[in-house]
Amino acid sequence: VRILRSFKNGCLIQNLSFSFATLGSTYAQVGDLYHSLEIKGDKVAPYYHVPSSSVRGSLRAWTIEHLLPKDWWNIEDKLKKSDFPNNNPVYLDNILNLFGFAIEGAKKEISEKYTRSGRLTIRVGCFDFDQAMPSVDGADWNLSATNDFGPNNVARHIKPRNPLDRITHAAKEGGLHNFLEFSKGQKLHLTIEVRKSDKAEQDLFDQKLLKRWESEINSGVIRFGGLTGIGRGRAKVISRTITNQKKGGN
Amino acid sequence: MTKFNSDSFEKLKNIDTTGLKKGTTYTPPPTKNSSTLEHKSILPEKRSKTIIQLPAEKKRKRRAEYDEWLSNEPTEYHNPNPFDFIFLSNHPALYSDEEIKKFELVQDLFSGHLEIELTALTPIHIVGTQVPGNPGRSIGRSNFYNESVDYCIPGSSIRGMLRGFIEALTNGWISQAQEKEDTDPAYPKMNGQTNPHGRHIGFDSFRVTENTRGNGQKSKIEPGIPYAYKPDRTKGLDIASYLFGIISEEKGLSCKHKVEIEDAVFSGEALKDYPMVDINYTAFMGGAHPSASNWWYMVPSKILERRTGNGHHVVEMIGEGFWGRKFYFHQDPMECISFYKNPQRWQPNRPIYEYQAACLKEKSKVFFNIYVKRLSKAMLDLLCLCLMPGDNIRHKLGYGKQYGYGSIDLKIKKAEMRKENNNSPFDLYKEESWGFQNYNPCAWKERNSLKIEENYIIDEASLNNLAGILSWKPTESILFSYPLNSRKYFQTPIRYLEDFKPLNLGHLIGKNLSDQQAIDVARQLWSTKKTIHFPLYQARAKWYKEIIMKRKP
Repeated sequence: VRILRSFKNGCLIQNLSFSFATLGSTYAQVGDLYHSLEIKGDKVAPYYHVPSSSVRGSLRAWTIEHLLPKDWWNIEDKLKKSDFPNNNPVYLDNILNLFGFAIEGAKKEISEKYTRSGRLTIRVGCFDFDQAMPSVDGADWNLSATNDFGPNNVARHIKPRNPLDRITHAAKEGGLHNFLEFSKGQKLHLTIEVRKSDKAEQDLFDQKLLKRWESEINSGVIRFGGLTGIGRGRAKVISRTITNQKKGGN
Repeated sequence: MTKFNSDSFEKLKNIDTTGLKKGTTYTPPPTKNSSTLEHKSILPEKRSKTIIQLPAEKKRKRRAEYDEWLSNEPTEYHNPNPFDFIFLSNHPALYSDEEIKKFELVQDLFSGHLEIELTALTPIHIVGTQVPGNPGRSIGRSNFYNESVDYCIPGSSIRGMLRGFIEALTNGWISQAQEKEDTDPAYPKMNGQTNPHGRHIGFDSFRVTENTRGNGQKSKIEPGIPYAYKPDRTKGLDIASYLFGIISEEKGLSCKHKVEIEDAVFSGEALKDYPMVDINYTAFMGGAHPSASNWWYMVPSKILERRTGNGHHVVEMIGEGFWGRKFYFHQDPMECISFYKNPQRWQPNRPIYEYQAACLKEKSKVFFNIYVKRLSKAMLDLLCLCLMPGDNIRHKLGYGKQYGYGSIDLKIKKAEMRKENNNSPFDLYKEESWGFQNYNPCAWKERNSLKIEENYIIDEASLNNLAGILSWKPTESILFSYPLNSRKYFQTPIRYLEDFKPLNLGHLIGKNLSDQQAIDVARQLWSTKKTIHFPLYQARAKWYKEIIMKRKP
């Protein structure tokens, strides 16, 4: 059990990320999904959500892999290895300006030139569905108990997986494992906030990129979370509201 | 060129086929005619520390060689076994990272998606919840797998099926094999008196195993799979791992998947109940029980005498190394189930029982998507060819393959790709560069154009072997069934004095046998026991030589 600490709404919150694994087994049995605790009145209440950092990570990785040449995909490494690169890729500056960047262990002039704070903030709201216990199929789990204390704000199910031995075609011994996942059709609110820059060219880049993200999410190219190899993490933008605020506002 | 193939294989460097610690030299037992010709390694010289000299007899024979030797066998009255093997070579085809990088540089890279139509040629069952049966029956009913409210064929099942096929077709690593975390062998020695599937010679998938006999005598047995087939990124990369990814313990050597496969979702209206059969108390039709004391799963090695705990004096056929990767033949499940349901075929103490399984109905069509990321043209074409492998080969998926369930046809209904380039990324402002265009994969007849440098990606011997097993021709009406549970089959021991010695075979005890000698021994013992030598049993089965041996991709 890992315990991560973060501040939320001025209160000290413990985010608990559970990952139950049998020691010595090849496959981890994931016992719960990512969830946090919030204080509601005089009670502490848990809720499931997708971490904003995961969404941000997916968008950043996609952006780098599609707008920079492959030898720049590890930006930090590339900058450290270069004396003082003067042939930077076209969108490098735009990307660093949007996401922000920090580099450690590089030459001073490199560090000064490239370290900057970002202008992008991503907030993911919590799910608003209600399902006390996960749906179970294909596993030997028998979930009949009630869920008095755990979060229940999302539909979820347990997915079993069992690799087949290529030689005997039998189930691989010790290979049966289950994981819990958010079920298809769950909705959440995603807020992407971009602070206006002082360059028109950068603002245009930001707008184009946001539009491209939406298109790539809808076409299944950008996915979120793990196990994308078996088709997980697909999302679709159902509706979108754009709000422009005056410079100087937030 | 750093690709290995069976024809060029003579000597390996730094390939630990013994399971011994690296740096230890393995000296095989002295044999006549051993050959140690030079062959360059797939590894850089700096990694090459140990030289293993394998005798020529250890060179594995592929299926075609066995078919040639057995093409004149007389035909008997038994059905062919429902599975057969894609015979392994001594070494997989691996490619170095440099080769892959070079290869990607000269090829366009494609990203996009394929819309696939899956047609159930025979009913498909993916196991969901199972309802226990009445006393005497393990399973009462088997429901189709569902996730939340949707019935689906999981993307992971389709992916596993494709990966297994590609591993075989390209002679790649064996990515999933039985292995224990500790030092115990994957197939441990078990007491036959307390366990109905007793195995008195333990063996492992990738390590040499030492067994101790009742009299205290120790003996070593080779791994079931040549060690070179164990995935190891420090030795290169196989095609399946390039496509589906591999996690390596070595830093920086893991490869992310380039292929993503989604679930094939459908409504409950497409489901219908079909019969399955099984035997209670033992997993006769579901569980594999490979043994090193026969040549059913294993390549013949030698013959030993054995005195059992009950005082019987028998001979046992010692096998070392699996024949290969198991695949199941296509057949009509209804005919197969009817065959098994005949009570006269079973011993009264092991009756067969029937239960219903919800299946995706025959001829139903379901759809799913495959996404690819930066696949070179050759790899994308390979993936497409593996989805639709010519006119003859069809895949099998799900439960009940041994009865004929799970035969499927895949069709690419739409392929939309866009080109990507590792050196020149997209122009964010150029809208047309982001669009997906229709893509036409190469035709099956052009499969030999798929190369990495001068090496063919498809292993021709494996392809022919796969065509023999996975050919889909319902008009052939071949019935495949497991050997009967009666005398002259698995339940029959070969007695030393009564069965073996009168054939003047006694001089072979303890000797290393050649492939042909082993066939000859099995031929001579045929009237005593038919299930000794797997390829011989298949060759003497009905339809095998006339139809199955002649199948082509």
